[in-house]
Amino acid sequence: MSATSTNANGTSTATATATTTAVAIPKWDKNADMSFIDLDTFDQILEMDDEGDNSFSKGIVVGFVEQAQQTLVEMEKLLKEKYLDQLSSRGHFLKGSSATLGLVRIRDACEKIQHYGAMKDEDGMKDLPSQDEALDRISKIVDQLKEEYKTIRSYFIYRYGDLEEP
Amino acid sequence: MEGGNNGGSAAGGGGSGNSSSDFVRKLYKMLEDPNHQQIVRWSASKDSFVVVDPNLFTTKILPQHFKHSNFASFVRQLNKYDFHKIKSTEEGAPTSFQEFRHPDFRASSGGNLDNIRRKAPTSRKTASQSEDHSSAIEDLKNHIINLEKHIQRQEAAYRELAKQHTNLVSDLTHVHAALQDHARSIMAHNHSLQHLGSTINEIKRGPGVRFQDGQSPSSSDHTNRGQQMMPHNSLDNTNGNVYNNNSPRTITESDTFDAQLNNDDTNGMQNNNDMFSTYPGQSQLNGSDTHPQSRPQPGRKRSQPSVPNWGIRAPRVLLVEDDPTCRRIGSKFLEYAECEVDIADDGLIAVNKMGHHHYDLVLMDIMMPHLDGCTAAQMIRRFDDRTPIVAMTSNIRRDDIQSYFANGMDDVLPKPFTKDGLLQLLERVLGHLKKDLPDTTTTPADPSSTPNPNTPSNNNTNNNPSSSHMQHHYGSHHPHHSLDPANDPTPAIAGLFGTTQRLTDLQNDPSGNMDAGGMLDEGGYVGMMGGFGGDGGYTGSGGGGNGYTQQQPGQRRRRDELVEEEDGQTGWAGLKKQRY
Repeated sequence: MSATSTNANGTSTATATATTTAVAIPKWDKNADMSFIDLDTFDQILEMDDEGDNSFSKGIVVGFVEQAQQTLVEMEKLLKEKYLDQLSSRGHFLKGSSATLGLVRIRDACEKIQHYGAMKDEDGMKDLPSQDEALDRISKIVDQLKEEYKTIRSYFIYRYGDLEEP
Repeated sequence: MEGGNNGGSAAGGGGSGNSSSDFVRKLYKMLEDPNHQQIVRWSASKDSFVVVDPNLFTTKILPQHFKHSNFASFVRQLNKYDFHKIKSTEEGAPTSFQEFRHPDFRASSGGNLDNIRRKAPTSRKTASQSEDHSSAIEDLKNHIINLEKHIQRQEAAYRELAKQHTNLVSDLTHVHAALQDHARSIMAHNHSLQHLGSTINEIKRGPGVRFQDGQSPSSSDHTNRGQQMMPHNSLDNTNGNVYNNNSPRTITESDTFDAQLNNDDTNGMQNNNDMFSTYPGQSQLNGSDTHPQSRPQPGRKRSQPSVPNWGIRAPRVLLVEDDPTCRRIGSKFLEYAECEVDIADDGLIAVNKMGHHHYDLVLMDIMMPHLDGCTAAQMIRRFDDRTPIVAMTSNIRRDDIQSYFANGMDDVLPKPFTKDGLLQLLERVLGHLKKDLPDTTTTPADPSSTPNPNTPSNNNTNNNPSSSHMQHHYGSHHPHHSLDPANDPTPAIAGLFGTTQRLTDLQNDPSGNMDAGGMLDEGGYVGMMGGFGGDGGYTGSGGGGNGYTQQQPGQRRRRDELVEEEDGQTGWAGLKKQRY
């Protein structure tokens, strides 16, 4: 699946997702649960910013948010087409970058998708009984991922003011 | 009279009881009985007897005297005693009459009864036949049982064989599939090797252009080359070039690097007209160091361990990573560690870059499109036996790690990597490039006392590290002295033919795509390669004749040496391979 074909086939979905998320993103609550992010890991990226200039970390964050959204759109499409191995590969892909940013809940969800897509259980140990079971499980995780996506988007908007490429 | 007869008969029977047959006596008694003269009686001639009415005889007489009612059986019994059925001797006798006679069986001749015996041979034969039959039947039964058991065993054996056959066929199918996969990957490798071969030839033919006109190939040139290769490799087209366009390139490594190479190479190589006479370490000594000794420090707090204080120049690191976020953060961390960073988006681009440039370190992601990290490392090891390749991965189970080592990689950086983890790794792998390396290096003329670079001391007490390096490198200019390969910060010549090992590898390349074109024909040349490339350990056989060969056997540890980790700091104890 190339980027082009994804865009061509997934345009409507992408727009819909973008619209709904844009509408649905709530203002960040300062007292909200922060368990979605490992601040030690994220602080390492903040440390790389120059004094008074957060453009490095913001660039990373904006890049990641775009990447996450694109991956979500791809995952929904792959779910419909039942491409388990591709779902697994997408899961692995987003797992790496979310882990680097310390976004632990997204990382864990992606790891599950990676395993389910490979017809394994969440620990990657036992085989799943059927493809339908795997797709069913992935579908639930993708729904969770959408919620996580809203959370991080809301948080990063709160943190950086906007998510425009610096 | 009758009673006397009866009595006589009884007496006669009794007198001869032991020898006369029961049957005969019963027969005689029956005939003496006057009550059923109408049914059975003596014949008129008194030497035979007649069954007048066989039906009544069967129903009345036989049960009375012989305890059965089977006329045929009675006749068979008579036959056994040698009675014979005869044609009726009485005139006008109806055909229903049955008359039997025995020579010794007559009315009122009780004494002769003893002579009437069973026909011995016949009866014996009959008995034995029946015995034979029953035993034969028994035998047959046993035989059948045996046969049935045999068949059962055969069936079980057949089922077992059928199962084995199925398993073998499925094994064969797997082997077949694996072979096909293998063939495909060989094809893919051949494509890449072809490309590498042509690149090498290109460099061989046009070194003057490349090294003398001061124009280095642009980095985009290499990128394009890498991308051109992609269509040849159908390993994984699914991810396409999604990230190629927006990948940030932090450093244009080739410009600065080639610029270094362009520097004057007159030092120590005047009598050498060969195109590889330059090696990067020299130019730096000529005062043309394009790499600042230290970079502006970020204004933030430092976490331990601190950024290594690099020696003569910053290490060049090739970061191979398909994920843009990891790439950006990784290269930022590397820049923070004052390394020069070059990027490869996938394994194929990495292999290509390794063929063009020298790096001090390769950080290799494992799961990547086009060419995964393990395969890429394997390919790089075909022509580059020394540049450390470190696997960057979240898969760090023991067998995963073993497969990284098996593919020629040297260490593992677990993902997601942290700044500290990265700094520790740099310390571990690039310790020999640090400025504060202990100055245990003796004069270059005495290559036997090279320090063990595996144990760089943090308690270094050398107060004049730079001078030690100067001395060190200065010594390396002398063509008669090999550079200590372990401590040489610039081990490879132009990132290509740094070692004779490479040359040999290329020449032995079974794909035939690599043309090392007579490089090994000049023994003296190889010797010089070794001397100046700092790879003396490999040059023993190739040198000779010109005095340039300075072997330092055993100094450089081979990558395949498995060394138990001493400090346990990284947790890869027992698995880590060391190469310095």
